[in-house]
Amino acid sequence: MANPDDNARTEKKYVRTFIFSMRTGTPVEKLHVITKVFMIVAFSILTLYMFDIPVSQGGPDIIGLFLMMALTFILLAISRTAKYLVTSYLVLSIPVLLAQFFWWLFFSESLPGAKMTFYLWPGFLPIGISTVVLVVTFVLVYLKTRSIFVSLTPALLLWWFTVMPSVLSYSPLATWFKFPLGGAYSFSLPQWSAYVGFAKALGYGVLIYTSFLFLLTTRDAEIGGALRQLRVSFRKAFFVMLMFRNLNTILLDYESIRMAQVARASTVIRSGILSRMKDLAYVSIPLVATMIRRSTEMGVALYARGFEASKGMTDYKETKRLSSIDYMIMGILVAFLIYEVILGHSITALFVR
Amino acid sequence: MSVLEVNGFWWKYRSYVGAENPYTLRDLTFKVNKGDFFGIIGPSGAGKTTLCYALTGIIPHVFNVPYGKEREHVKGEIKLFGQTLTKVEAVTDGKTGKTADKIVGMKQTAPRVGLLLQDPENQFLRMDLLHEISFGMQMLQLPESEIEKRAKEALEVVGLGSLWPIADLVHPNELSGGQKQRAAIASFIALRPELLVLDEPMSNLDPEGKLSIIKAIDSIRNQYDLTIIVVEHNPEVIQKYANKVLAMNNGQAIAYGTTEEVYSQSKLFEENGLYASDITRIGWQSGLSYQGRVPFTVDEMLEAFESKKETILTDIEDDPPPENAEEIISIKNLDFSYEDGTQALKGVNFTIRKGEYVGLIGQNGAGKSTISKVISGLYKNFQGEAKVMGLNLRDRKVIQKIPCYVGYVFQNPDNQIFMRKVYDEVAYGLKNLKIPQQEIDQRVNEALKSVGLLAKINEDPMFLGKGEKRRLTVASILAMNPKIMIVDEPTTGQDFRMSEDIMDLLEELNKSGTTILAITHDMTLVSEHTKRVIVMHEGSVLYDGSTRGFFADEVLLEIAGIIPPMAVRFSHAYMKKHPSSPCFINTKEWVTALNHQEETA
Repeated sequence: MANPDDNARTEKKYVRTFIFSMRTGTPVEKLHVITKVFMIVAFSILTLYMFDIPVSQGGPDIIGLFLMMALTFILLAISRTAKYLVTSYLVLSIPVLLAQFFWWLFFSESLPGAKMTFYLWPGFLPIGISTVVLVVTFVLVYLKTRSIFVSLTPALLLWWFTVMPSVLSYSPLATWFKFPLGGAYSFSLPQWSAYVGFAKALGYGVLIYTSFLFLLTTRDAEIGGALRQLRVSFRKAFFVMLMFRNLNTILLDYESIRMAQVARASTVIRSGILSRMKDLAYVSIPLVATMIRRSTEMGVALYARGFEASKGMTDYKETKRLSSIDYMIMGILVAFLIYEVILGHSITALFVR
Repeated sequence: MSVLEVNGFWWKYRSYVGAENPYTLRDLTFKVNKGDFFGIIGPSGAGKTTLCYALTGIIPHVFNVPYGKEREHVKGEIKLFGQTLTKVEAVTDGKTGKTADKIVGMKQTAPRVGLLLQDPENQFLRMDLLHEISFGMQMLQLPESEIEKRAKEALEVVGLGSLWPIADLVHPNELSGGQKQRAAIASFIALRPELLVLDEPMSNLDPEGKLSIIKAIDSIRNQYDLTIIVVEHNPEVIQKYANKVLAMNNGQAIAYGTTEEVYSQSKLFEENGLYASDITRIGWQSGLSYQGRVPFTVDEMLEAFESKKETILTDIEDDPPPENAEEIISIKNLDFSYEDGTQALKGVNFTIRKGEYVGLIGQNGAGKSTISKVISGLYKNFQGEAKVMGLNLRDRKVIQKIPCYVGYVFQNPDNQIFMRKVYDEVAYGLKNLKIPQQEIDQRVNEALKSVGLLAKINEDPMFLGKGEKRRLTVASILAMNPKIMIVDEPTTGQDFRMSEDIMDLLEELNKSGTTILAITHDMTLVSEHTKRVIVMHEGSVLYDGSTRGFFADEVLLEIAGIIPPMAVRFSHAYMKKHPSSPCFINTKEWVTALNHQEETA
């Protein structure tokens, strides 16, 4: 007959983590926090190293970066947190990574002898396909939103992106008229820039999602236990633990405050980015007030449980040993580090050759 | 043997900005004996929480005072277990030989004393129940086996034994309101304290949750020979369990003695805005007495009444429901599930007409807040039909406009005040609606006037009192002229007078045409103010009809897990002996019926 205690444990399918919840009983739940931290550190070293592989040696190790991204997402999928990441933070992280890509594209240093392929300003106002793109985008977005600002932003962006190829192509089909307007201002864009820019965005993506993996699959007891294993004093370990634990509380507080704001008609009239940012800033007033009240009461709770007078702390079901999965993942990471950093190889180069 | 002795104790908090603070505790003298169930009562701002801090040594050992001003901030003495807990003494430094005033006494009262605050969520320190219970024991450096044994035992004592197998997987915030309080109590029980101080431990719970907590506390007191000090607004709890009571106002003791002695002073309760139970209020207002004092319980009241052997008013008329008014809220077969798959609403159906004042009741987790959030457009992914003023809430464009028609006053005022000036706070919603400035000024003034806060128009809401903050949140919604107002627990944490003010305000609004939906656990409030109740139970509507009809039906009350107010319980007891009697549901009706009897006599 099945043990009722086991049944209760099977029925409890999810367990709360620093942000959101993860599935119980998966190999990721068993991962030691040290492995997760080691993964972040190893990926950081690898990413930075992979960026800097010279073009002459095959350029950034794109396949290596993809492998790291894949490992992160496999672990996220096993812990059933990938869906949450996709529906919440992915939306925020993609614009950041795109910005990173374009930043690199426009403002990276040019390599000696690189061919200039990019204009910021061609020196004349071209009328052609780009103008059609501008007008059509503006009209379509305006019909949907009825906001000049909202329509103009994507229209101008698209216009600019279409101006450049049409100017560069010197095709009479793309540019019908030219109005001379001041001198040209150009950027030199090395041939490899787009490739390197993509690698950069991918690398930072790996770091962002690995950090999320850590926050989405870790609980306070694991951090506390690991710090105690590393001989950190119980007071310091506790405060690190409390800091991470409060992430969860702050997110919940934010949700209820934002709901109160929506109930006060903050979304009734479609407002501009500035007023939305203002609304976000207003959330900080009750959020900070709540945090101050909570921290005072937590101080009282700590005193009432004898934290102040305590000389030490018993370890109770907090520390855990490294398991075979930990050794396996750390083994892969070490092998990766040796292959890429010490031996100076690149996985991409293997395929390119 | 006395556990606590407070002798002429005064305390004032240090001021970090501006003028000095006034004394929060003034000349308090009382004694708590071993095994006592000691009740502390008083209106908001009376100094009850500060007193709890002082009794556990947090004041002045954590909230300290400026150097050299010890005697100004702390006067008198508190003794705990026969030793000085707090006292200011002139102490001579062994090295320098200089004498200076110092606060002396026990720096740490844990684990012999436990302190449980009003909101257990703010006291939770860990992310799982197991470590929440074990935390104090880990601090005491008890061996692992002892921690395990005591943690399991503590959970069983508070009735959470079934959670033991998954205690390491359950986050304390996943527990229901009552379970959270039990878990917080268990975390102290495991430390085997001798004195447990509880500051309004039941204020966020439904009536049944309250009862189970207080029963658990009382059984623990007997089992472990504990002394209990409890701050509580609920007079029924104090009258039933406490043997001694201290009543406070403005930091001072206004009454101190046995429960019978304190609750016999009706004038004291009226003058200081203290809560008294329905039975006590009926006793005071009808002059009925039991063994020479006002009755405390239903049985005592029945005995007091039966001894007079007289008849009472047998007729009572209810206002007819506004049947012809337009349907303002219409919910049909509505289902709702949260992201984690928890189904919160199942096949909910009801209609609310314009101008109604409806009480939405049910146990914690019954679905009251969820359905209210659907009505106010905050929860969108529901199945079924929901219409407000004829507008379909499945239409995303309609949902955006809902705050113009439905005002939602949330439970916690601190989570809904966004501005640093009272004027701006009320104007916030109006500015979002792009209303002309002149009209904003006018509406803000009117709203603040109706809640009695006009004089504070330029003040920072952060510095308003608890009741004032609550009224400000009502004004902020009021200014938006909603057709429907949803008020979530309007009286939680408020003293008697504040609650009355808020309820009078809602009644006035209702009379002027606003439809009101009040979510509450306060059954006395429901019985006194609402004509209709919608009772939610496990995500569905269990009953929808007259308030009297619901309270009269003992079977329904049992299924809904709702403990009716004392006035209703008195009716039930009375009706068993006099089946033809109507079910009087509040103090006012009982007093009218009883005084009618005297008039007839």
